[in-house]
Amino acid sequence: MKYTNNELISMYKTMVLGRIYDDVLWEENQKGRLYSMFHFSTGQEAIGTAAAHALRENEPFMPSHRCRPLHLHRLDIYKYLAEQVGIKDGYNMGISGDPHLTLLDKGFIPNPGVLGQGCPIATGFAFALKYMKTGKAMVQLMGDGTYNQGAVYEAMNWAVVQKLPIVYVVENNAFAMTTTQDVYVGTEALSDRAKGLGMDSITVNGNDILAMREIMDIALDRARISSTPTMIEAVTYRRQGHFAGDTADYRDKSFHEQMLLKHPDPILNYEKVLIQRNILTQDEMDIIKVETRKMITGACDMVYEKMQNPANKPSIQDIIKPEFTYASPMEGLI
Amino acid sequence: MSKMLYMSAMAQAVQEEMEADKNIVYMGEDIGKFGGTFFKNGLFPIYGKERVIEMPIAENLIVAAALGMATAGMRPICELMYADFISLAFDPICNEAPKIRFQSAGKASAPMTLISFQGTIDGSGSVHSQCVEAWIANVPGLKLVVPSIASDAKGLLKTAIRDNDPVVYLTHKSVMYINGDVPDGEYTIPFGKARVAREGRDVTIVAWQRCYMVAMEAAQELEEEFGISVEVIDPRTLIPLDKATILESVKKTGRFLVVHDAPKKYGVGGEIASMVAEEAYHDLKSAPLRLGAPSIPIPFFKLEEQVIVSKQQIKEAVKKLVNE
Ligand SMILES: Cc1ncc(C[n+]2csc(CCOP(=O)(O)OP(=O)(O)O)c2C)c(N)n1
Ligand SMILES: [Mg+2]
Repeated sequence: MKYTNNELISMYKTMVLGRIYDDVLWEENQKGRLYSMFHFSTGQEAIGTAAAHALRENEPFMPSHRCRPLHLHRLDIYKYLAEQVGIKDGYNMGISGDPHLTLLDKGFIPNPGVLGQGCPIATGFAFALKYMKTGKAMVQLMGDGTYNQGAVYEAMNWAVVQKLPIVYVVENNAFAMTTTQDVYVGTEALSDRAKGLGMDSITVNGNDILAMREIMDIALDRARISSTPTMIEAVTYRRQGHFAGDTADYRDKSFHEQMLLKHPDPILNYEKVLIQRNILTQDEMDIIKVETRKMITGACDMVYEKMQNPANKPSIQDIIKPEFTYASPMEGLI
Repeated sequence: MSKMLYMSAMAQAVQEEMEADKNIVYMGEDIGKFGGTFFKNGLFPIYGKERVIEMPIAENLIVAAALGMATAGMRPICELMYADFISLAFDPICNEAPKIRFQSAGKASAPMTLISFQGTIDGSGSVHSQCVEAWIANVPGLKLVVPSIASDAKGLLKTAIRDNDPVVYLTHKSVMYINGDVPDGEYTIPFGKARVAREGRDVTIVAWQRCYMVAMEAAQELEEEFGISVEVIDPRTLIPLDKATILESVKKTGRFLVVHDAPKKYGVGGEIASMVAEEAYHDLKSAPLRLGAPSIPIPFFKLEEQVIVSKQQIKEAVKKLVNE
C-alpha cells in the first residue's frame, strides 16, 4: 500500500469534514439561520479530497464552485463560514463569499463565477509556475457543464503547446444545473476531447478516493517532473439540487435512483476499505464524525451570534475603500 | 531627445521595462519572427520565444492567461491585434482582472497591461475600426490610457507596465505612425495628468488621438480665420481623469466641447461633459457640447470618413459655442 495509515485517516477526515459541513449548512439553511448561495458537494467529496491531499501545501489550485473538501482543507472553518455569510471576520471581510474566494497566499486562485473562464486564467497561472521555475504544479477543477465552454479548449490546447504543469479535473456529476448530458455531451467520454488536443487524459471513478488519489499523484508528478498537462475525468453523481434552495423537481425519478445505485456514496465506499484493512473501526469513524459535527456547529453558532450585531457586517464605508479597488488611489479613479 | 514614430516610442518603453524586470513577458499574435502587425515591437530578436510569447488566435486565452500570470506574480503585457476583439476577451478584462483586488479585500493584485489598437485608418470596416473606450470605461478597477503623441506613448506605457492594477492601453491606428520628439531613457508620465496641448481663452476642447489631431488643426484655423482662441486638452488617461485641469480651463473659457471617434450616444464624452456641467456650472457661458460618430456601424473603406468627426464639424461646434 502506497499511503501511510495516517495519510489514509487524514483523507477520511477531509472527506467527512466536507460532507458534514454541507449537511450542517443544509440544516442551517432549512432553519433559516445561515443561508447563502451554497453549492453542496455531497457525494463528490473524493474528488476534492484527492486534489487537496495530492497537492503540496504550497501548490496552488483553482477550485470549482462545488468542491467543499478542497475549500476547507487549508482553511479555518470559522473564517470560511464568516466569509460565506458576509461578516467582517471572513477571510475577505465577506466581500468575496466562497464562490469568489480570493486567497492567493493560501494557494486559492479565485474561480471566476463566469463558468469556463477560469480555465485560461489557471493555465496562465501554470505558465507562471513554469516561467518562474518554481517546480510547482497545480490543479484546476471544473464541472461537466463548464467543460463545454470554448475558453476551456483555447486553454487546454495552449497548455499542450507550452507543456504546462497543470492538471485539469472535470467533475462529471451528470448535471449542469437542471440539464442532463443529453443536452451538452456528444462524445463517449469527456476525456476523449482532451485526447483530441494531444493531452493525456483518463476517466476515473470519482467516488473511489484511492483511485482518485493515485491518479492525482501520477498526474501531479508528471506536471512537476516533466511539465506535462493532464486531464482527468472524475465520474460521480450530484445527489442533491444545484444549490441550497433547489429541490430538483426537474430530475427524473428513475434516472436518479439508477444513478445512486451506479455511483455509491464515496464515504461509505471508503469506510468499508478502512475497516477491511484494519485502519479504523466503525466506532473510531463515528467518533470522528461526532467531533467534526461538533466543531462545525460550534463555528455556526459563533458566526450566527456575530451576525446578530450589525456592527460585524461590513458597511459601505468598510468596502468602498479606494485601496480595495486600486493599488494607489488617486483623484479621478473612483 | 530623439525623433521617432509613436510606435517606436512604444517599443522603446517595452524594451526598457523588459530589460529592467525579468517577470515581464510580451504576449500576442504574430509577434514572433514577423515582429507584430500594427506595432513592430522589436522584441523577438532580443528576448526570443521565452519572453515574447507568440499566441494562438485565441483572444480570450491571451488576456486570461496574462491575468493568470499576473496573479501568480509576473507582470505580463498582452496585445490584441484589433481593439474590436476585446469583445472576445471581455470576461478576463472586465469581469475578472478588475475584481481581484476588491475580492481579496485589497490583498491581491493583477499587474497586467493590455495593449490594443483602435480606430480607423485604412477603411477596414465595421469590426476592425471601432474606438472602444466606452466598453472599458464603465468597469471599476481598470485604468484606461489613450496616448495621442509619441512622447506620451512612451511615458504612459512605462507607467502602465509598472502599475499594480490592470491597465488597458488603447492606442489608435491613425496616430501610431506619426513622428514626435521622445525623451531618451527613463521617462514616465503619471496617470491622471492631462496635457494642455494648446492654450486658449474662448473655448475648451477635450480630445485624444485622431480627434486630438483634428482638433489641433481646427483650433489653428479658428484662430486664423475668426480670431477664436481655443484651448485643446489631451486627457492622456480617461481613468483616472484629470478633472482639475479640465475644470481650470473651463473656468477661464466658459465654453466646453468634447470630441471622440466612438459614437456620441453613451460615449465617454457624455461622462466628461456631465462632469463639467456638474462641477463648473457657474463658470459656463453655454451648455457643454459633445461630438462623436452617429450610432451606426462604421462602413467599409472610404465611407468611414463620412462617420468619424471632421475638422469642419469641430469648427462649427466651436462657432456655435462662441455665438450663443
Ligand atoms: C458562463 C456561465 N453561464 C451560466 C452560469 C450559471 N450556472 C452556474 S452553475 C451552472 C451549472 C454548472 O454545471 P457544471 O459545470 O456541470 O458544474 P456542477 O454545478 O454540476 O458542479 C450554471 C449554468 C454561470 N455561472 N456562468
Ligand atoms: Mg455538473
